[in-house]
Amino acid sequence: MTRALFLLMSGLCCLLMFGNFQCEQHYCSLEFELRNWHSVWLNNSGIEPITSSDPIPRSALGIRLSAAFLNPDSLSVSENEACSWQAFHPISQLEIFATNGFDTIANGDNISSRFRLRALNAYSFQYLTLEQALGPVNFFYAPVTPDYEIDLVMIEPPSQSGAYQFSVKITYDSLSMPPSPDTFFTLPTVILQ
Amino acid sequence: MKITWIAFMAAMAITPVLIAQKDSVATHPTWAAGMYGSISVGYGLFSDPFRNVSVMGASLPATGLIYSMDAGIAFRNKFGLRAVIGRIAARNIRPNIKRALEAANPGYVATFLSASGVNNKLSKHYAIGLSYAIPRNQWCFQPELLLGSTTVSLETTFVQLKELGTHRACFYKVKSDFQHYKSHTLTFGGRAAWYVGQYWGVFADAWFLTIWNNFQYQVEKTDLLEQTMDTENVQIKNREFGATGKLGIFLQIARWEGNGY
Repeated sequence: MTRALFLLMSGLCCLLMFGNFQCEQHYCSLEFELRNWHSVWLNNSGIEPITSSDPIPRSALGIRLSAAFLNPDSLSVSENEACSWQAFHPISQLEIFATNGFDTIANGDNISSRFRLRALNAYSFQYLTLEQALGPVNFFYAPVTPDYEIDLVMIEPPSQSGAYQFSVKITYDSLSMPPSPDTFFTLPTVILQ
Repeated sequence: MKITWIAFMAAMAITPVLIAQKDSVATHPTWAAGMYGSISVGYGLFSDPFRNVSVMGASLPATGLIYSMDAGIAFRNKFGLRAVIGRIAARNIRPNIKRALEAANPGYVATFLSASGVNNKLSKHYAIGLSYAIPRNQWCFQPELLLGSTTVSLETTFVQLKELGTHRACFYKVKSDFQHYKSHTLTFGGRAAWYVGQYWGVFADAWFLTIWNNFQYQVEKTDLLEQTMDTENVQIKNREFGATGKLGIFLQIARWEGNGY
């Protein structure tokens, strides 16, 4: 009996000393970098926006910006693991310009206020101004995906149909010393119906 | 309204029965002749039967469960009364709300409907009405017409609609002042009972239900583009249909002599 108790106590002591007990779940927080930006036109006529190279209804125009999603820590994260992702080099400004003027807009004018970020949420989606968009663009909870995409929708389209050209400027937070310079690119001409 | 219906049906049933009782010749305790009780379990298909279930994206039949306890009396003139207390599969009314909002906003389609918490649950069902016995040897067939009610859970529902052809989208929070609502039901059905013993047997029930819903909701509508919010009261009235099949066992205290039931 005494021997059994001794063995039991010894076993418990070993468990306490060498056992890997964890009372709290590990908090997973990772950083990401964005490289190689691309853009395509979106047609948001249906339930979900789809990429399109055909003429697009003016009232359903959108832009999808996509970038390669890099994890500088090279940590392996399982798809089921819920992690928060924070931009290593946060975007400080997201701007859209009218390459060619239209209506009362002059060539090169900033038309960012005419766009909204279509941000996915727990329900379906919501629309955020491009200033509000910086939060979810730089920090989010999501499973690991190879692509990073931002959908912008134009809520005040040109009043006339025709060919239009827009440019996008992505400015990074200068304090965090981005490895690449700010990004500026012009989208291909879009035909609006 | 429901109480009026039940009282009316009960009065209609009792009147011929009381007259018939005078002529009845019963064996065993006279007062008990034709009285029975039964329990049964089965499956029900209601409007959009599989909308109730979403487990890993698959539809399961568990939500159609129905069970009930019946008590009744069949009089010598073959008419009878039946009362039913039971449970039927809880009906998820969120698709009704979604359809009502889509109908109220032509050109819009739902892009989101919140999941229901009533999956795989049961709701109360009470009914009372008339039956008629048609005895054939060991068998007894009983058509029946029942009026009753069933409980519906009025969960707060979230719906998002998007206008086709534009970016315009609205988010709806649909909330009721009450957690539950009792829908009226009309049940037409029949029972095929087989006497295994002198006073007990097994049976199969088939029911066809009509369910009337009349829900009052307060709707908070947020325009996602304009970021404006409106509140309005909405009434959702509709009618649903269901078909159920049940198997059960019954116990009869005494039978009318010579009639076979």
